[in-house]
Amino acid sequence: MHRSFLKFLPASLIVLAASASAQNPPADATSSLAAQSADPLLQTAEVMPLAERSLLLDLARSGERLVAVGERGHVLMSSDGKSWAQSANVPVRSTLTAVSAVGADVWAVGHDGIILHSGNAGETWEIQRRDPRGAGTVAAGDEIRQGAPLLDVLFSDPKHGIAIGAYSLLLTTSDGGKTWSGSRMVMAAGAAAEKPQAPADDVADDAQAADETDSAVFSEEELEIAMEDDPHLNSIARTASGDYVIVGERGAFFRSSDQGQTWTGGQLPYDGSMFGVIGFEGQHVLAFGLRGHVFESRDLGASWDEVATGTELSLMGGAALDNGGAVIVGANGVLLKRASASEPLSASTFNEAGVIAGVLPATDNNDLLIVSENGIRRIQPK
Amino acid sequence: MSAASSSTQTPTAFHRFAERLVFGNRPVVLILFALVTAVLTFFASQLRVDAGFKKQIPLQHEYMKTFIDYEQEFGGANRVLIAVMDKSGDMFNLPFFQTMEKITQDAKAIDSVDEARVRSIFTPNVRFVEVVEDGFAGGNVIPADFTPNSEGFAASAEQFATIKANMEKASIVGRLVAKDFSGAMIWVDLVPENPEKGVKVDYNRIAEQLDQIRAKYENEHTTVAIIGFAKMVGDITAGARSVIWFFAITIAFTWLLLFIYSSSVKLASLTVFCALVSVVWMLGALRLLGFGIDPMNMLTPFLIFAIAVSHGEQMINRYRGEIFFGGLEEGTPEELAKREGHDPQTAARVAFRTLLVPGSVALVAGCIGFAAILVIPIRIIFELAITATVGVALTILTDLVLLPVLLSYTRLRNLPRKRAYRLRQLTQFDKIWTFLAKFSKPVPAAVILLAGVVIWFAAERYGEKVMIGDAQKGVAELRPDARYNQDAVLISDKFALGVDIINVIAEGPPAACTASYPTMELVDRFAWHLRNVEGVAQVMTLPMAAKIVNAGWNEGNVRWRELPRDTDTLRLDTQNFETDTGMLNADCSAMPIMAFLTDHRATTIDRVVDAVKTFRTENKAWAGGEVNLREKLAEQAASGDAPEGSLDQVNLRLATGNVGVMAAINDEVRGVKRLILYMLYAAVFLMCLISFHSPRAALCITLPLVLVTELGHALMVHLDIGMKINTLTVVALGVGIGVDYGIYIFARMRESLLAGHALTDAYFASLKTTGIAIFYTALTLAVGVGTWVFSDLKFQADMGVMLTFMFIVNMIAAIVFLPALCRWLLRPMEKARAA
Repeated sequence: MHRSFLKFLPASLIVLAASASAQNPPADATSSLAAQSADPLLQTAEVMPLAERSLLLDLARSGERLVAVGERGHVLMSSDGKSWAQSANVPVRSTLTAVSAVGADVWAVGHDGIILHSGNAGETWEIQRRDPRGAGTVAAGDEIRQGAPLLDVLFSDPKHGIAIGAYSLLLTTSDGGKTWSGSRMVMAAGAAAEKPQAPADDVADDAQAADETDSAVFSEEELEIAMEDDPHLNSIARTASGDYVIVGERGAFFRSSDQGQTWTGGQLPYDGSMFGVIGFEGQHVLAFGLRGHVFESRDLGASWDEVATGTELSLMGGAALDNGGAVIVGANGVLLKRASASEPLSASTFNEAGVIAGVLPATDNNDLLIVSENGIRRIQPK
Repeated sequence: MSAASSSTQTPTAFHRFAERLVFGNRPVVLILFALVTAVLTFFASQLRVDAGFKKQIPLQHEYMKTFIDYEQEFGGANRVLIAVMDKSGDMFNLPFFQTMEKITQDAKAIDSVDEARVRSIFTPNVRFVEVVEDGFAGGNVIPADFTPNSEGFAASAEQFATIKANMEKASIVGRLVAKDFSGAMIWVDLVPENPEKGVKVDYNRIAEQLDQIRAKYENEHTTVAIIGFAKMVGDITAGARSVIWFFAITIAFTWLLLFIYSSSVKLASLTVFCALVSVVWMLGALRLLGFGIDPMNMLTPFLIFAIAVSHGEQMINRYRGEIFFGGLEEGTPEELAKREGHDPQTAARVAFRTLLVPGSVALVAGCIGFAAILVIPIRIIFELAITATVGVALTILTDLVLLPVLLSYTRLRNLPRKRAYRLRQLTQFDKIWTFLAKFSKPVPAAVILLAGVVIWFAAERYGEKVMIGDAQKGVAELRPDARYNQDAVLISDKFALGVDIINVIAEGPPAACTASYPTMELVDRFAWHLRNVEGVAQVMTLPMAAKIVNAGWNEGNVRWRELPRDTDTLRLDTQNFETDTGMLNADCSAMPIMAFLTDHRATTIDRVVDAVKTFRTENKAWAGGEVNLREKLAEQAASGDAPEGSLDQVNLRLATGNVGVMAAINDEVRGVKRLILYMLYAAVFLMCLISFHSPRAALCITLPLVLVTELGHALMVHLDIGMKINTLTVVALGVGIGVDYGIYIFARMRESLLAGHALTDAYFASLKTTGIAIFYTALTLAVGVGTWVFSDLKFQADMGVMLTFMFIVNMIAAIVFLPALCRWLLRPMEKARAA
């Protein structure tokens, strides 16, 4: 978890280094390696009977079909949200954290910096990107090291998409993912100004050096400081106005009104991380995260109001309902729901689900589809 | 006297020697027997009940090597579960927590308990992890300020809410806490038995202490359910005490039957007396061999008694023939009535002389048969085999030496009346014998043999379905309504996890869980594969826990629930796991993968074991049988010649946990269930061959046994009795005893054949003379074991049914199939002469 990234750009304007796709290996470069290593990055996902009961992290609607993704490269498809079939053609076993679909085109992102694409609503998949750290490509015999995990992905049309992840990783594509360009979104000044930055650098570097020589371990304190400057980007949403908003670690958020070309950063009134964000009509957004905190903004984050939830459980995922309504899910099976923007959130609990990571309203009735550490299920909210 | 002379026509040198030895010094023989009996009675009185967990285990089995390697570090197989249930269905009240804390304390104080591995919501080794803004925090399920047993303590609703939340965070619901929060459980692991180091575990003492805990805390609000090997031993021992009564009843019944048969108090008493002497000798010999009497082994004295009575009955039968009629009871009643009887001593001598060979053959065959079960490499079976073998061997002395000598001193009262009774008895069944004798004629014989083959085939097909191991909750040794089994049902209903556990141990180099991502990834994927096996309810292992911690380091974000590839982060994720979590050993070179199963049916166990074997083969995670890769790699590392890539080597070893033990035992049973029978048949065949000098004759005696054994298996299927070590042994014993009928009938028939009679006549004669004796013998044995049906122990009851069946059907098979086989195997050419 030791990192030594750039962290000195000034002001609140964040520049994307459009470094083309140099760091992304061609999708077919790895096919010959598959048999050589048992690494999950090089292995086709296994079809298992209980895949629909495994840790699933996100789901999306691809045309008429639902597509859910999760650990071990699990991709599950369903037409009715009741019976699910696992895709046998996922080329990796890495944990997939998020999925986005436009028509029959589906993109899934996950750990090891993986980006997968399916042109047929989840049946078959190809690798668009992977990022084993320390190597531009995966070659036989290379030690595969941890690449920054991607934590969310959003496509506005079949061509344009944004993928975000750990350590402020932000990738964009304008050709449906054939090439991904990007860099790390770097936040400075503004919100983080009062935090001591330079010492943090030193500590992190020292710790890393120490680690390499005598296997010292980071203290929690050191890690905390090191994490402040390039926060994990946890979730991205698009409002009806066409603006984007990203929420991340330690109350960081970013917004873009130019299709993700440039971003403005800011800080929520709460220091804890936000794990999800929902976009509504206009510039109305709802962010939620650690220990039951929910914040609402009607001006794309220029001002935030805290929304009472009555829970201290962390909130992991959510979906928009009509009229500014929302459903938000999280740890210990907690589910918050409001039918419209004017109503308060009311909580219910689905204990057997465990940690719920994502939710999607069914199209045929008021049921909700949830993905959780115990798999996928269709529930009737109270 | 012509008939009588046939039996005495060729006394061999051995016969003469044996007869001189025994009858030449009758007083000396009696004094010797009296002395030995006195000494062995003394030793028998010293016998103690002696049970052991490891005695039940095939210690040489691959899985059990793993068990032995890790019993110190992970324990788990020899566990007592104490479930404390609140009868209101809700555990969140102060009295319940008071009781729970007290029982946890009391459980730690039980003899031979491994205190550090006692687990309950009140022990410090049960913790939870919680995500907070600054990372995550952990703690004990019961907060430090919650002290239910301190004076004046009042529990608040908030405290209970906190505790409930902690239980969920610690993911102990379903394991240490009931799924519906109606109670909680204490896991008590016992220290490993190690007699060499003086660590002996006294299970009956532990069972007593468990009963005390139950007596102390069970009341109108609280139920205390206790299961586990120690408790089971205690309950079985308690049940086995009723065996004494069965023994008394058996003796009484046997005596009564013998009296009805012989119309003589003296003869009946002498037979029972000699049988009792062999039992006492056997028990004394046990003590001298250093064995105790195992509760599972309680049936052996019964069997020895039954065997001794059955052989004694043959002796009595022959003796009566001599004393009433001066020879074999052949010929018409008129002829017999005219014959003169011998004096007791001559009668006893003739009986001794004629029965010495067939009796010894039958008993030695039985001995070898019992010794055959020694192929099961389990200590308790070893003891049982030795016990039974010694017992049967001693029966040769008591029945073939002591009994005839005693008979030679016996003066029967009312001899004429008894003689008349016997004459009536002899002719009573003539019609039946005439009918049965027809079975030896060629055509009926062929029909019978054909029927036999058909029955055998059907029984074989049906018997193939015999279940290995057992299926019900609790233990098959006790009745379903026994408290133990009720408790087992309660616990598996309320807790679901924690009753049937199989642990696979993943071995690697030192620090595998921090230094090797591939190892952790493999173990994790293995756990997932196991989880997908039907019958696996839950799997727990270190990588799974490490993933949760990894998410914890990332503020509990579930999208980070992933194994990090970085060694540093991996270390961060695993360093806080102590060995007392049972998920790793001290240097993290061994990690158990704990699979909680839905049941312990053999099919479930097989599925899980097969899945493990398939996975480890496909993923090269198997160093071969009985290799301790952890030790091997540690040695290589120490000597500096660790091969390349050894860092990521994994060895998945089956298996510990109670189901691991069952898997090993099932494996052994499967391996030997046929072998034992083949050895038994071979022993019988060989003994018959030696004594009758004819392989065909040996076949005539052996084949009916094969049929009966298959029928026995079919009955097991029908009665839902599983093939376990216990049942396997009893079926073997049933065969060993069943062979007697065939041998005695054949021996008698052979005499008659050698005297020049036709087969059908010879068979009629042997039926007439030994038929009643055999019928009574079977009845005696069946009544003896039949009473077991009423035993408190289900195992004993089942075996009662099984053995009753085996004895009766063996008798029928001997009477029906033996002559038919003789017809076609021995005398196919002989024309059925006019009778």
